[in-house]
Amino acid sequence: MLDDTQQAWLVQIRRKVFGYACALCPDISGAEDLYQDTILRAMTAPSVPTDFTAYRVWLFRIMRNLWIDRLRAQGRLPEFDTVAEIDDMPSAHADDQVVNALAVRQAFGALSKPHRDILALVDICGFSYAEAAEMLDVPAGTIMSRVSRARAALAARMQEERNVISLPLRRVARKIGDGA
Amino acid sequence: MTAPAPEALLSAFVDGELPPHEAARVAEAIAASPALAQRAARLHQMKAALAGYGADLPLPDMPHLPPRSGRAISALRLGKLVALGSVAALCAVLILGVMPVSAPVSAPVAVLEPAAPALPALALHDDWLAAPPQAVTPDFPAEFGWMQAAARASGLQLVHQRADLGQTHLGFKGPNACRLSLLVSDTGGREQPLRLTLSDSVQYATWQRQGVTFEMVARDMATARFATVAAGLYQGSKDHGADGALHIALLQSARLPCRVGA
Repeated sequence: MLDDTQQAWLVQIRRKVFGYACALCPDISGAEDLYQDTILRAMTAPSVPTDFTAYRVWLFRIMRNLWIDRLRAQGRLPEFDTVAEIDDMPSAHADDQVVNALAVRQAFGALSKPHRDILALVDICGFSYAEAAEMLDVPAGTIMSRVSRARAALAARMQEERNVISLPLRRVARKIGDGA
Repeated sequence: MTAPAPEALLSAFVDGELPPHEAARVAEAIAASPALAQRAARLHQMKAALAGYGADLPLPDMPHLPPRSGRAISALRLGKLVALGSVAALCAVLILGVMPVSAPVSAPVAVLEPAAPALPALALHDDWLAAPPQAVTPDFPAEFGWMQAAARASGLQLVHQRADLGQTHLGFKGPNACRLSLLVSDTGGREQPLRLTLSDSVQYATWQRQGVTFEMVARDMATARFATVAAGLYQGSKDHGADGALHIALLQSARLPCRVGA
């Protein structure tokens, strides 16, 4: 069972935990269910880390394990270790453009599960490469290349869907200046 | 072991995951290449866009053990509870059925560089940190007006200014207790590109433009953030903000915490 400190940690990071669930699941109800399953599993765990860093990794690992269990039960478990060949970041039409946040999130939702998984851990949950490596039980260098490949896939997806809004940088700079 | 691909290095730089010497190398490359700066800016923006994923959705209720009310648990959870007959039974089943999740214990190992050499700029920076804050927030000196947009985009505010013996000391503060000094001196030296010396405890950058020497120093600042700010100011000193839009976008999107580990 969680003590008061661990309960407080849970409250502190629950937004990130839910964000991770949203990133993993294709729909909100699935994310809510995964979130609550994770919290329940944590609350009833016989042994809980007493160090915050370890606790955070432990909690997200519970969620990831539950998610993998579900996929496995549905026969939809992807191969996480496959090194997919992905083109480099597309450079065509990349100049003089600002990435639109909504477009990024839409493209993220269309990524493969392994790509969503690694980007969610690093970009949404804020784990360091070392923490992510510990969670996935792989070397930190593997995390580095997986993150890079996932970002390349994300950029390629955005390019495909033409979801990048052209916004001249000069105008952005002026806007920043005006905001003084 | 194969060397990481350039794209992976850039991606790791954006995440603040490169060791200081490697981060310095990438930052210098970014400062020298608008195309690379564009790619770094895009990566920063993609990262920033994902950071708030799901934040606009209402957070589901936290389940409670024992349940305090029917609303505290979703219908699915409540159904499970009823089916199991009692909260105690649920706990027992979950405890028995829990997967063996091993608790990670080892903390990430920080890569520490040798301590930076004693620098006059660092001494000035430390003197400023130790002194009481100036009562009045200084205005940007006219000759440094080109820095304003870059400082603002970096989340830095000018809070200290002192001119002495041909050297101007500008002190900036940012969120998360971030403090950064920029020393500008008329030295008449030749042109020198951006050079970075980064460790986890001290970050230092220097360059020369048109007879003016710039030195930037901070303590405990995330190296990638420091390097990004240095690259932005270096570029600004080149063109005096005339065409710094790209670097402004880069600075604005680099939202790494100021303090290491913050």
